Amino acid sequence: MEYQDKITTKKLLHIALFSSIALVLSYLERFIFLPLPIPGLKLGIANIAVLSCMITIDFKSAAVVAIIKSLLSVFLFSKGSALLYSLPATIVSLFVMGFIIFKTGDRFSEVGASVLGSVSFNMTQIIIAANIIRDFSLLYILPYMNILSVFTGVFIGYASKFLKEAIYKRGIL
Amino acid sequence: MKCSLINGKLLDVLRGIEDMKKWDMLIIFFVILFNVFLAISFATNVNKTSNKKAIVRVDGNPVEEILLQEDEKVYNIETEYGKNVLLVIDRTIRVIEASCPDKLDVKQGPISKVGERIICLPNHLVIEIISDEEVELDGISR
Repeated sequence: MEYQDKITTKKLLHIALFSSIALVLSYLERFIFLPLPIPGLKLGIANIAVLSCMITIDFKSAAVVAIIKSLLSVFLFSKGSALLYSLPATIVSLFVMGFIIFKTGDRFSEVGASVLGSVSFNMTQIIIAANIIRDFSLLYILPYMNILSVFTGVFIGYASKFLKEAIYKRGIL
Repeated sequence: MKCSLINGKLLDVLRGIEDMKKWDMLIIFFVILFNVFLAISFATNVNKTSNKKAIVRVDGNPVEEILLQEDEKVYNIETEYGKNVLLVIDRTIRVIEASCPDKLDVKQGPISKVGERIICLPNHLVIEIISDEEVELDGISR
């Protein structure tokens, strides 16, 4: 639609809202303790905001939300070096989710997009980390992380699906 | 007692879970399958590539280096203090016979991890497991 390509005040407001939701979620995520022996595994609930922004508005807005979330959450809550891992992983998973949602027709639902997004996020992150510290034994935890990220991905997918339904039901967008 | 959650919202949520699409199921199934396969192949690969050695020392001097291998092999260590018979099997090593009076080394059973030791004090014998890389590092530092 023609309306989609313009930046209207309404759209700007929605992008800002989703970005703030993503930031708050990525802050809350730090307090969720996962009783798992693998270091660095997160639930990824901030992805709820990115994914539901993608399915309710469009890809470009979701990209803005994801990059704002990635940059600001690193600068606000953790060390700057984490940007090296998280920003490329965010961009890769963004494109994977966008491809699944917009280019594969009606085959996948949000759950499939979320699962593939979180798996690609993991893989990018671990491959970059292994390249930085030059220790490829790090890749051995990749399959375990991927299997766990399938479950978190299903959870995130359903969460953003319910959020989308709630948004449509209340006519917010 | 009326439980409004089960009557109302929980049922809606459960109904929502049913409508996962076929391709979602497929992709989840394949991702899990692929990663289980990857995990298994990694796990078996690690065991093959990591060569561990047992170093047998008497009075601190290495008398024998034993590669921990799959196949059964018996080593006789005879010194002026006594005799020990070592058995290597399934990448573990154990003492099966000893001339010492207390037989603590025989009772200890098999060891297989890097850093584990069997010590036979009467025979002045120490069996320590090291990895191959450590041997190389030792060679460089010497």
